Amino acid sequence: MGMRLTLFALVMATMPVLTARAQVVVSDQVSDVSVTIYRDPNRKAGAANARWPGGYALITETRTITIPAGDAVIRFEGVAEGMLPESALVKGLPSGVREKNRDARLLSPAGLVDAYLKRRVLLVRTSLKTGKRVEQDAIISAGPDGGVLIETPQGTEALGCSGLPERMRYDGVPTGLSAKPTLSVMTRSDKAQRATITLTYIAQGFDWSAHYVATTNTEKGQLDLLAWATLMNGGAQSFPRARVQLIAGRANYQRKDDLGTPAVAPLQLQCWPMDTTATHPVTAYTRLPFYSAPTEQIELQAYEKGYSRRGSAPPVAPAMMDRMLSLSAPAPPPAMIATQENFGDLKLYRIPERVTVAAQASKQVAMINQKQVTFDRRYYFGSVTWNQATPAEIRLEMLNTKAKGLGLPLPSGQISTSEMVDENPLFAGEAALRDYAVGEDVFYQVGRSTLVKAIKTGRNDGAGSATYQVSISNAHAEAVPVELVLEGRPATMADGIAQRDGRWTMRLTVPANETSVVAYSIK
Amino acid sequence: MMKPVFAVLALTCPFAALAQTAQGDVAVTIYNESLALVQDTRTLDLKAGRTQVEFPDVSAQIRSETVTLAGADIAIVEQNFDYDLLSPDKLMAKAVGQTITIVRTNPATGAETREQAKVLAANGGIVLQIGNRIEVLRDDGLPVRVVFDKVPDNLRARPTLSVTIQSQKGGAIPARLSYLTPGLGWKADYVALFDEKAGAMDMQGWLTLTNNTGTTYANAKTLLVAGLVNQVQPQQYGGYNRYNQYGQGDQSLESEGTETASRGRLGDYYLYPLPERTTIAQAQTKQVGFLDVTGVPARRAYQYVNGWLGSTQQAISASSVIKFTTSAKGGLGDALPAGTVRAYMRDAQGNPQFIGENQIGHTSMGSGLAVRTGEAFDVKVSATVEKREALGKRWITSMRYKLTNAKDEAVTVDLAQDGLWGDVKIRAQSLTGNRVSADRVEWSVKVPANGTVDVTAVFESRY
Repeated sequence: MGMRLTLFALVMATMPVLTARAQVVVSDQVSDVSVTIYRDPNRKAGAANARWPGGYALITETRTITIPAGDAVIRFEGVAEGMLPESALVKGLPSGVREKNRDARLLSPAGLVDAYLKRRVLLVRTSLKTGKRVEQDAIISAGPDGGVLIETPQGTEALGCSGLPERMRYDGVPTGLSAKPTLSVMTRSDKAQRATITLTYIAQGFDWSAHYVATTNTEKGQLDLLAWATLMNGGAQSFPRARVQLIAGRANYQRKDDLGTPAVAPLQLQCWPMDTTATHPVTAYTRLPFYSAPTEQIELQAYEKGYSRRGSAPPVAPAMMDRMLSLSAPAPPPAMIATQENFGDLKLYRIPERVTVAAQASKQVAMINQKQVTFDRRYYFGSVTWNQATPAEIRLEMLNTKAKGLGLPLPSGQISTSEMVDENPLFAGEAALRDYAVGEDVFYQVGRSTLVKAIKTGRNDGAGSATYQVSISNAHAEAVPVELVLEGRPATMADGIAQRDGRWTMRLTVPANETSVVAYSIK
Repeated sequence: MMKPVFAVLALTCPFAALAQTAQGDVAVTIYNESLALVQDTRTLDLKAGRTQVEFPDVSAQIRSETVTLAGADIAIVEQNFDYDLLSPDKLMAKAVGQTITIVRTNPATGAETREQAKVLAANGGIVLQIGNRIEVLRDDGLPVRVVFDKVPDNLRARPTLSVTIQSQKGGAIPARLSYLTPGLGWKADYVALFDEKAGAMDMQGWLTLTNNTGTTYANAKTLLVAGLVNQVQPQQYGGYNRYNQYGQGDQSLESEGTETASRGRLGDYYLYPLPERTTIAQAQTKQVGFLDVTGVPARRAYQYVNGWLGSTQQAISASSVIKFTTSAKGGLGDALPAGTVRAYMRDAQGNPQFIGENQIGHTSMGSGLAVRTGEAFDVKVSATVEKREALGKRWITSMRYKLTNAKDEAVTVDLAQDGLWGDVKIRAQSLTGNRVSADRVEWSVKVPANGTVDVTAVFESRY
């Protein structure tokens, strides 16, 4: 089932060297696949970019093939195009691998010309007047770079420059060209046999990050934390029903070279510029064909109205809606949650069921679902602008411990915070998070407050000392906790002044609907 | 065991959907800077167990990673967002290995010949196998039509969200889909009609919302949020936070208020619900009034700020300012979302004429505002350094400010000398000033009708 044995008898006569007597076995069926995704090693915090996945994946495929007796070339078709061939491991061949080749030569118009250079093709010309076709033998004498020259009994001509419709017909597909990215290995077996092969390699063009959704309950000082693992595949190859693992933490990963010359060079027949109105440019990607540019989407928006569905949804009864809305306040637990394992110095998240990692798609699977995590809200001034009201940063802080309702490794990503207004969670802001280990203080900025502001004035006292006066206004009907970063070590210590995260800061409470004035000198 | 509930009918009925939408009960919460939370309660037709559901008619700019779906008795297994868009290129790429029909038209006779062709490769050009021959599609430019039997399942007309749901029971189940989308935003615009003689102002506030998401939100419950909500740009490495443009440089604010407005709030943000449901059409700008107060005490003021201890080359017009407060007592009595204030005054015939506009930031109730509407034609100030001499390690600078008033009524000018950083001392002044901060001293100068007043001051500075 999982293999196809092809003897290119016809081609053998014309292919002179490389595979003189080796038989070619094409393997294009994968019976089992595992995808382990590593994050972009250069991203320290924040979400992965679905339009340019900068991470990589370790892919393990199981394929079953029949190996013929003697020399054989086994072509593993349909590997990820971001494959790093130097990372490929082939296990299960009875006598091992003699040679591995990552074939970047793809079957294309230019590839065909290249493969048929100095060989005979059939030239077909069509008369526009009579519609009659004239076929004649020709030899490709130059190409594909800089145009194609063909030799006919009448002499040498340039293809596509006559103004007459002309095309070439080839006798068969050259063995070295494939439609899809291919890894080929050479092996030798003393007898024909079936073998189950494991192919393992690293491929670029994958990424993942966490996406946290924090729903706060300000009265209780608690939040519910749900995290999705968002994983993405930027390649054109899908991995159906794959076992999927995600790795958090940093494995060393060196910068990789580009994958060499463009895999698909367009065939350009060069005469003189002959573009027509309908010329369709073909872009050759030097690396992975990631998502097409957003412009494509914008163009497609013109068609959005054409997107429909079958029938129309029955109207929701108001009572039903109320029930739904009240029930939806605590989000239902996800049906599938990735499990976390320690994996050396890294963290591994395993998706419990097989899922499809589709081409050019992203997928979300729940990874953390933690209720009633204790948090603090604090108004933070990292710096205050001179003579101008500066809005406070609204900070949420939580201690990542079991006692506070958390105590889990938190892989980097993005966190969006919602607050409940009339039983309805409303978005309040989002921030990028780095990796947080258990026991760390997690804090992030939700937004900035236009109700809590500060304004700074000051005086230079000379000899490197200065006096500052900061007025902090609070338009809340409740007192608010404030943290103010000082310009340096203050001359006199007071309650609430301490060094926090390497900076001298002052913590204070500003009463409801009042302005607190803080004065301090820095020596 | 899973099957898509909605079929993609994009190709078969392109115009049928204009009139109807797959959206359910929609609530849209719009933030200041091109960001909105869409909450769309739809009825899903589920069966007990797992169902894969697709959601058409979501924002074309939906931020897929922010999607959540909540409903009774359902749980999410996985969410997929497919960018594999249907295009001629993609259609051909997905047909690799499959057989298609090609129809050749004879250029002379118009006769059509149909052939079956196997697509061998789609790497830049389409390589076909026809019988036992290999050729490239339309290599000679002659007319060849390619006919596909069907569109592959996984190609979409638009980026498509599909969610696999685990349901405890079958039937019609309401569920709320919520997501963030850029492209929906709003701003505030104020119209202030200033009556100088009465010392009062009428003010109307309008919320102007725009929709460029590519999608229309039908009959939506709409809520506007005023505040500085953090947004992360996913393109940036290391989590760069983008701030609202109104956060900094709030030049109109004179004193910060500490009163709490009676509006609804979401934490530190004020809420402005629209009174009725409304349809927000794609590419539409919509204005809704939210503030209408009359007879707010307001006064005209003139301001001039000399930025440093230097001379002006010529007399410079003072700024013309309208001062008022947002306090509940003696003022507007509301918090104001950031926006543009356009000021009008009645001319001699009683017609309102535009006198200028300026920005205000998000302003708490109880704040003092000074909106600079323009420059005063008749009120000018020139500053002159009369003398500058060293005194030991310090410098003595004598300043003269000449204020002229060509109006036929007396005016009061708020004259300020700025740039006094540090330990600048005022040794003498002809009028008692107010050192409002270490940086700045202000004098309130009365200039008679068609008159001139000189103010002098002597500063002692280190430089």
